[in-house]
Amino acid sequence: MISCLELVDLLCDFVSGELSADGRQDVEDHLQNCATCLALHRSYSAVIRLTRHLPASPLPPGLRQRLSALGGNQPG
Amino acid sequence: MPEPKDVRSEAFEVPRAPENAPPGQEFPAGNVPSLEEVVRDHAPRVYNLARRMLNNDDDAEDVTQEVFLRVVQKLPEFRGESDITTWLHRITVNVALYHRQRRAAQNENRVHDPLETVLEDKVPSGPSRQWSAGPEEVLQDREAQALIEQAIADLPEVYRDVFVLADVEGLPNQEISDLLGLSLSAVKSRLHRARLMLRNALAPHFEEVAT
Repeated sequence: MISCLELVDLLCDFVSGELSADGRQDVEDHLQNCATCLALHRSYSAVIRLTRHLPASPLPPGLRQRLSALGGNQPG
Repeated sequence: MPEPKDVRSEAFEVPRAPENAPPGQEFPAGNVPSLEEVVRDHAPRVYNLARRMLNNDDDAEDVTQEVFLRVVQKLPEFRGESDITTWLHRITVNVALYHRQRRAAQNENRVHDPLETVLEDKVPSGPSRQWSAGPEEVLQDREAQALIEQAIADLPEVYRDVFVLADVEGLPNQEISDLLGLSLSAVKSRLHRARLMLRNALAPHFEEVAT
């Protein structure tokens, strides 16, 4: 079975589905037998999910108008 | 200290119609966006990308204005909407990096050990959120949002740039590699480290639910 350190190295490719079938099986076998790495996998995946859904900050007051007005400042 | 190289001009090629398209049919008629449309549809994303890369609202505003000055100059050359998002990403990243270079040249560079932030003692308010909760549920909590934004802001720049482009903006690794001039393996390695740092920074505020 792969070690915990090896699992950490493979995690990025595992979550993006870039591992070979054998590599994927190695990771899944390890996760079934290691509660610590399973917790790491869950929290690592949660970080990706959460940041992908972060709401955008609104534009500062007046910026939209200033940007739209930029067209009027151009020659021609 | 030497002037920073102006990297902004290197990526301002406007997306053009495909060369093999029949004359007059390069893009559907009426697809050339107006400035107002580009502002409406893309300014928030440009502003937020700059804000997260630079960690500063005023700098993000400056970068957004600079980007849209470029848009105004190039707008007549647009032949379609299709690649405008990619084009704007490229300009925004380049202007933001240039802005950061200029700032670094103006200010004394503080020597910063990337591990300094990671190992910094944080005073957690105690875990009250679950990793397994859906993003909509977690992000309804303004404090959770602020914690995540702060953890991103605390990432060292080399990791933050890649992380913001990959996980916040959702860009493919190859596109990030092109934008930042990094090898694909460097992008993946930095992204992985950034996620681990972020996970460690957030861990005191989240808990695992035993299953």
